[in-house]
Amino acid sequence: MTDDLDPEPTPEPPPDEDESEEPKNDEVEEPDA
Amino acid sequence: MSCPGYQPAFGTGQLDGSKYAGLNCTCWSASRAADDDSCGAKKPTASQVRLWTGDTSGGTTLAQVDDALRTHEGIDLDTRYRYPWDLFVKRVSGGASAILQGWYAPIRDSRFGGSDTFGGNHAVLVTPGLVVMDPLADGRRPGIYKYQKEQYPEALLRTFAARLNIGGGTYKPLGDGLCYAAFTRDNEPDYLAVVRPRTGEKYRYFGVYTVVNNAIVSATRARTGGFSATCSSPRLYKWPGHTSQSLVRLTSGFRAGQYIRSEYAKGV
Repeated sequence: MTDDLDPEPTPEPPPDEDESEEPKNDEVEEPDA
Repeated sequence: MSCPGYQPAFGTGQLDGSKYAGLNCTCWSASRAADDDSCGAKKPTASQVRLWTGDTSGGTTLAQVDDALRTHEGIDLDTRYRYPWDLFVKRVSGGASAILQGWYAPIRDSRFGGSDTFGGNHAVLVTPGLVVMDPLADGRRPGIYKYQKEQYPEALLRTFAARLNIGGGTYKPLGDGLCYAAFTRDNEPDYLAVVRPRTGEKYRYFGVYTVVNNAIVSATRARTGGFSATCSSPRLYKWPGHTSQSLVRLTSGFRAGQYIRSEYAKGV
């Protein structure tokens, strides 16, 4: 007889490099801006 | 709450003379997103959203305006990074609006250009039907496009989104088929179009309309043994030389993108 064991927890995947990217908008520089 | 066909008011563009005007495209787009999400009940200004972010130094991110609207207006945008473009189009076609970030040069160089010189990271509000509210499209001088509830070509928006600079000081495009976007809730009811042969007949003939810039430009007759598909809410389209027609745009199946008469559609 064997005990049911909880499966080995799956390690968290490393964060996607791009997920940390937070692009901001640039400034509009116009003569009338 | 639903408000089919509701379109936020454009009002004044981002270049309104306020302190951060040149930097406020994301805040401006968020302010109109709040208007859309609330069916017009909440209409903060771009400067108000800017103040709520607490940012006094430069452009803003989607996360900043998302936090600002959640905290101060109780509006919770769904912000997504590296979101598949096809899903973006599907969601916006289905009734949501979205703040879309991108690289402005392709729009600047099109007939929709809202600046002669600016070509960097920008944000616009895309409403159902790919009708774009560009905070620079204020028609402030000849040659500057003026917002008129016009649909932008999907390919143009896709390029705008794909070229978003995610590299900061060193240009690094996001890549084709992806986008950074913050979605409002879907405030259009779901509709289903059903076209079936009449009793005793094998096929049903029905009209398929071509719509360009919110006007019908042509119509053809198609034949079907029967189909159903999700679709947009009904809207009236002008048809030069003919009677205006109430149509829906099919949003699923192999006929996705086609316009047919609203009589085939019903709310579900």
